[in-house]
Amino acid sequence: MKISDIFKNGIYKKNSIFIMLLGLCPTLAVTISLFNGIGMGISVLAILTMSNILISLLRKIIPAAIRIPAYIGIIAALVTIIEMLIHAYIPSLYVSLGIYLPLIVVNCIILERAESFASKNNVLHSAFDGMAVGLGFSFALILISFFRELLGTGTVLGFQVLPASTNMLVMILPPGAFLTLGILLGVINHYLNKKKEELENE
Amino acid sequence: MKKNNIIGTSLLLGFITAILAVSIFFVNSITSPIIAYSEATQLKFYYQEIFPNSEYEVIYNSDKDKEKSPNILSVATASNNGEIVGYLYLTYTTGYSSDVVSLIGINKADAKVVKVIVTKQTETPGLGSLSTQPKFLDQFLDKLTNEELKVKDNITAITGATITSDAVVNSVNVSLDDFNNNYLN
Repeated sequence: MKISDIFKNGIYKKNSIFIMLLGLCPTLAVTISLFNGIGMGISVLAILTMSNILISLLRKIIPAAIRIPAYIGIIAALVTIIEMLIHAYIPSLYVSLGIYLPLIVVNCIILERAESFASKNNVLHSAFDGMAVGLGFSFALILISFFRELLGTGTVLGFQVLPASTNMLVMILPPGAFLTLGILLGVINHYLNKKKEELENE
Repeated sequence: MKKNNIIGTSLLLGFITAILAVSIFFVNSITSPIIAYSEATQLKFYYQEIFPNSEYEVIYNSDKDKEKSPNILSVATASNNGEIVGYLYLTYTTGYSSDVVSLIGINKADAKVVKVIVTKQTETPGLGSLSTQPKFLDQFLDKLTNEELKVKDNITAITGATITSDAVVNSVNVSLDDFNNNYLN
């Protein structure tokens, strides 16, 4: 397997949010500001890479019968460690991510990568796969939270860009998350379908 | 699955979780003093903003003491040259989407609110988050402690964030009540 293929798959061909629609709960909940989106994306990226490395290292030791509890244990421990580190060193991010930080434990992307990739591939490839999928996830969160923050509060990373009169409050409320995600999914799928048709017509 | 196989895998799973627990313990022993220190300095900074240049002493902490209302997290005194000038109440109430933690400073001599600061909240940006702004918080200045505060009556709510406004008002009322019962002379 080529490393470039791993990155292509993780970032756009099998993007966890836009293509596979995995891990939507934190995606919808934390994307009220770009700061949150970046913070959540990087946290998942770090946890996913580390869990992939650890699970790949232990893949020959962990018997198939106990693999799920072992994976969940490893992921939960990593998330707890990251949570404590963020609480100690970036308290503002800890406060704004709130409950969604510990909930990374049950983010299905991480368990999915452990089960379908890290448990079958070597450490190097697993590490790259964790990074690639994490980057794809971060990219999606950043895109969604950028539009929501811009349209909802007229700011980008807290800096005012649009006048307050153009704010659409609904964008930072829960319905705005569904609207943004839906429109982005529509645009992306339209583009992908067009590409597919072009390939078929040739 | 054979019997010794079950025991073997159980032991292995126990071993894995034990290693994970030890690593969490190790990280926690590094981070917990940092967390405690940064929270304490942050609170001290807010104390300074309400009663500048005083000495502060925590006289009630809900971790150990339970006799006050559960909304009161801690009470500290501010004193100048050994004489108590005011009380600082750290309280929390549930807002719209998060716990709203606020610090309320009460002057002892004239029993008036000196300042209210919302120290922690993750309410809706643009609505509930405006509760940290002076426009809302300045309304509490100089209120007497025997006054019952109420949204619409003597406090104007934040537009579109009545629940958050109520939460802060309740925090202030709890503190004023406790002050009247215990420290008013």
